[in-house]
Amino acid sequence: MDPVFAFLALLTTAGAVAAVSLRNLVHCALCLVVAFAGLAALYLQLNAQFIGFAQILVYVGAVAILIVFAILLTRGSEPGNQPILSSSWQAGLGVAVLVLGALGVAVASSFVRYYPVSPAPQPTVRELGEQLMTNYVLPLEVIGLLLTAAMIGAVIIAMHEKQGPR
Amino acid sequence: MNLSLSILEFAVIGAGLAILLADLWTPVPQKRNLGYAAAAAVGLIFLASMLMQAAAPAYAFEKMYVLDGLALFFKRFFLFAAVIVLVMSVEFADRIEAGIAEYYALIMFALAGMMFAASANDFILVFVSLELITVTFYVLTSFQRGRLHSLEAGVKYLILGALASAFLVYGIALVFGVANTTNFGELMGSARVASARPVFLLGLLLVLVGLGFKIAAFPFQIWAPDVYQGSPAPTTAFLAVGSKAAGFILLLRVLFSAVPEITVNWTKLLMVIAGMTILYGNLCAIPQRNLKRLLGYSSIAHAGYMLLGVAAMNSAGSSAILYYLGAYLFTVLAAFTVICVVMRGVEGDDISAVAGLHQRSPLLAASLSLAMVSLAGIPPLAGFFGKFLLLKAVVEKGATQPGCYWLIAVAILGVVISLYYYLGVVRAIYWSKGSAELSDIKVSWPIQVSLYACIAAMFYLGLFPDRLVNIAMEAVKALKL
Amino acid sequence: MTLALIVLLPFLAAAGLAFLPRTDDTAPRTVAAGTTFVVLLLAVRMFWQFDTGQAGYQFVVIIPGLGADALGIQCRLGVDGINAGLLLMGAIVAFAAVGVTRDIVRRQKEFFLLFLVMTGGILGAFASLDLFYFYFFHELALVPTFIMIGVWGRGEERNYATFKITLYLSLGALIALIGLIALYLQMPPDQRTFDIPAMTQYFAEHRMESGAQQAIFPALMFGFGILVSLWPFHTWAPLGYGSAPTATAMLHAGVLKKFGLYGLIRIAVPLMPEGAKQWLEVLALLCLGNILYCGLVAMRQKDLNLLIGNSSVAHMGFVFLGIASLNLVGVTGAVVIMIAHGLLAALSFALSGYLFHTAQTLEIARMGGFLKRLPFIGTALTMAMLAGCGLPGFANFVGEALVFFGAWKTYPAITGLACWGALLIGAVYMLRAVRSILHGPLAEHWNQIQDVPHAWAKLPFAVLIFTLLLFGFFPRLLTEKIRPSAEVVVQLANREGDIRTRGGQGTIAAAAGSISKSQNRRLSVPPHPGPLPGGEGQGENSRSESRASRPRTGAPVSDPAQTPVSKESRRIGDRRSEVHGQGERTIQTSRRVNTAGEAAPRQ
Repeated sequence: MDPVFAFLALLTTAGAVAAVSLRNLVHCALCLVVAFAGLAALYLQLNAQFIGFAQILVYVGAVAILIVFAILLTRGSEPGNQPILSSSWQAGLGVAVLVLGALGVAVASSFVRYYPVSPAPQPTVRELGEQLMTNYVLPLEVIGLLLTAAMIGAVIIAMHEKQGPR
Repeated sequence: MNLSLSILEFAVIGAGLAILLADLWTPVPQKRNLGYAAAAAVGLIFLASMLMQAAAPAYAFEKMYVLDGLALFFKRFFLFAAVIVLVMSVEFADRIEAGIAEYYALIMFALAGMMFAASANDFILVFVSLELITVTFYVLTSFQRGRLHSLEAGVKYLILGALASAFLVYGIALVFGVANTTNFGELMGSARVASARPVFLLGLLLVLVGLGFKIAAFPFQIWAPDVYQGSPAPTTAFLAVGSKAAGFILLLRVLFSAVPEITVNWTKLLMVIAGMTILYGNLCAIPQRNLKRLLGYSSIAHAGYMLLGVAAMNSAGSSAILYYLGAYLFTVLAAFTVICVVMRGVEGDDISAVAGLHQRSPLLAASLSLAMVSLAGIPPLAGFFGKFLLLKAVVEKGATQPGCYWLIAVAILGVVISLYYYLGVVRAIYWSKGSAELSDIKVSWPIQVSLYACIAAMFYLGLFPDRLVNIAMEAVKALKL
Repeated sequence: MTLALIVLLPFLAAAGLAFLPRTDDTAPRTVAAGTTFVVLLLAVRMFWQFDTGQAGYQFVVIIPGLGADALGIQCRLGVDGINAGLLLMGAIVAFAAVGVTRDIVRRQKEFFLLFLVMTGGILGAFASLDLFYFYFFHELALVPTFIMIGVWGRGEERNYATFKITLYLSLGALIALIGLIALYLQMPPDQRTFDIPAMTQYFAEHRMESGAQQAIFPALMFGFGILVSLWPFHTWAPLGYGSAPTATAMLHAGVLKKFGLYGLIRIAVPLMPEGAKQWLEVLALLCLGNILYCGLVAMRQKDLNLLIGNSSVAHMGFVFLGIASLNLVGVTGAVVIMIAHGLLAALSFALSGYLFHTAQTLEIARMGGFLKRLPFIGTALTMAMLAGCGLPGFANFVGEALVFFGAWKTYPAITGLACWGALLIGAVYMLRAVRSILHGPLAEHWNQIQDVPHAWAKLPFAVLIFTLLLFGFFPRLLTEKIRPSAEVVVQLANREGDIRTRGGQGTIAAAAGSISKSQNRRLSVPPHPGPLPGGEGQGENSRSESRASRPRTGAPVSDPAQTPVSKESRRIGDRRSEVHGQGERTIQTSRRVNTAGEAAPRQ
């Protein structure tokens, strides 16, 4: 096993475990950032540049910061006094094992096993961009519309009531 | 690449953006009238769609987008629905605290999503257009943010809708992982090879789950009654008609155009789902007192009837679905238009609010009664012919699949049960006591026009079904049945 | 054109009514009365011009536009002997029903609108030659019935009653619809049509699979049976009629209910002879439930409306028996009863409606001595009750006698019981009602009740009684028209399973051809002079032969009802000779089977 991979995997897993098990929410958020970053590194190691950088930009950059802000603004930083482990952790463990099993079966039965591994294409960001602007331009446009709609919706729902008659 | 194929969608999006912009320069009291402008614009696009022809399927965007008879049929369907819904929302405008112009624009964006869905020939476009519809509807359902019910509906729809999207995208990923393509045309070529893989089937099943949420089929129907009840009436109408029809067109395309070889093995599964959906919808509708909730349950039942056509797996069944949707469109729009007018200032949308309606406004009373009768499937209205076609398709299937006779028995049972609650509404209109309010209801002329249009269409489709039957039969030729 | 007018006029009038102002109190009634009167005149004219003795359809007209060519649906109307009388009866009842709408005082526009829709639906159902429209028109009456009972009905239970009647009827109709669709799908895809004559001909030429017949026939039998209040699915009827406004009850009990019977005679029996043979035995048993059980129930009723309702259910048993007999005499009798009972039920409900209007109660025990105050109504009620007992002179007697003669051979035990039920049970409750309502002392508080005020108000009752008597004294008017068409039905129904034999096939195709062609072609060809050719033709006709052989014991008979009828004894003799005459005709037909076997290629 590649030592770099082992290190990254350990880092990611440790970050994820810490994120759900620490008491201080800010610490949790920061550990989550570690997990995200580890995942991004894994992607990069697999030569998936676009996903790797997207992961860093979106998750490490935006989502994690958003979470930290949300925690700080809502003053949820005091540690609660509930136990870390939920009372039904056995059930959770069972579900996790099931999911792992299902994924394992899925991977085992996918055609990767039956076909010789072809040299993976190495899509660069440039190629991805070209694809998005040619073949997949329609979904891209639709997503643009979707985001517009979502933004309008967010504004409408969160907007303060105006005073006086509308 | 042929951009002109999707001219209708771009026109709708453009009109929606124009409404958003116009909002900036429109004085506040005039804002609600933007809805009429929107309705007129969509109406024009609807008329323009009548000029379009789709004799042979035409593709665009690397075969991701297809314009064939089926797509055109559904585009016209969505456009007409949107016109009525927009008129209805003008009527509803005073019950929305803020952002009425955005409400109109969002309806048009959802419309654009539905129209893309009608033309989707690729799982990517399926997912994206469904998301456009769903995300827009999250906002539309919770638009009355002052009302707890509306917010509750929005949240429920958001959570369950997100779950459904997750299923859908997971399913698509699995399908792509095995077949190495998301395009329906290419999938059909590789489906026979891929169908041996359980993962591929699992992926398709997950896609079905996602679409099942959209059409509110058992066992993914939980959200429907709550969301129908809580949403603003125009949203509910659009949800009942547009969103459901979008689910059905995608279901038809996935089942009969992407993976027809696999679908034939799923007859029993689809039959069971159809039967359970019919039973669930009808049985739960019996005790309802809230009119919108009642229609929510009844919409589940109607999804079940239409699934009969899917389970029949023949072109008679699919064309019957198209006909049924056409009938359902006018019927449901008429019903919700009446609800939208009558329930002004009534909390809870209780059935008792329509008591004595025959005195307050004969037009509204007649429209709602005819809508109920048509939903129940009684001649001479459109709903009857739709049910007739569906039953015919299932009986036809019965020759090779004896289990269909059980399905028919369930369907008959469902229809008889549904008569009970539909006629309960008619009864409330014509002879129930206990309504204190007996003042006349003023009906504005755009509402009158749309009601008369719906009534005329209900009678037309019931009495002269020939034209739509032929159109529907032409349209389903696009499917590989 | 006549037929199209008969069916469409009520709808046009209803559409016109929709645009009248709500406040107008006289116009709706006038429009309804005028429309039904014109329809009645047209129906009488149609009946008069009907070419008696012809088996094919006449007055055939296609209403353009309606229907779906792609599915083989078109709105084609036409009459033969079986539905000509039914249409006339429907028109008469509709006209009479408008005349007794005294109890409708509020929301007249809505009432008459619904009434006209219902009338048009009923007439359309009987006139349709298309399976789809046959069903379609019948269902048109469903919602009007529901609203009419709900809004203008009477009694505490009317909500329950109106839901019950609607749910039962739609259940029956849906089951029948599945049967009809299945029937349609039995044809190969390129020949599928809902046209009844074309279907009849197709299935006469191509044998339907036995399994399909066994499955489709019961669907139609029970579906239609529910619509006709076949025991044990009859409970909606008395309750519904008891709660309905008079006009609705008249139309429903009188005319609409005959739809299911008509469907059995027109579609189920001739198209699926093998299914019929199997299942009509069940029907014959169930009809005893109608005749005996509902008769006994009627005996126990305290409310006049419920009594009439139950007795009308009981009378349906005779029609079922007539159909189950599957021979010419029985089927003819069944059609005659359908017409006679339609008139009678309408008359009875009109009378009970009047009694309720003037006395505000229908409890039999509370009434008494009404004949003194109500001479006209009292007389009419007595006549109606006697007609219900099957007194000679009324059309009901003709039908019941024919049915009993027809059914005797096939189901002697059942016929015996049915006779007993008709004569004894019927007489008991009918006469008891007459005694306790009309005779006895008149209580003080009944002094305010009034008889029908003027001649116009008497008209509806008079028309109904007159028609009952007319058909009672001159049954030829009906039987001569019914016979050729019934003959075809019976012939088709009695064809054996192995119609592949050349002779049989040719004949049956010929028989069906005579219905599908609307041109004149008399079925009653002169009897074959020589001995029966025997051999291949004989096997499949043995059944009709054996049925027919009983009446042949009489002399070869002259044309039946040519002598004017006055006394009862002669009437019965005459009746018998008519029966013989029909028996003879059956034989002629069966001989024709053999001759036509050779003649078939000539067609």
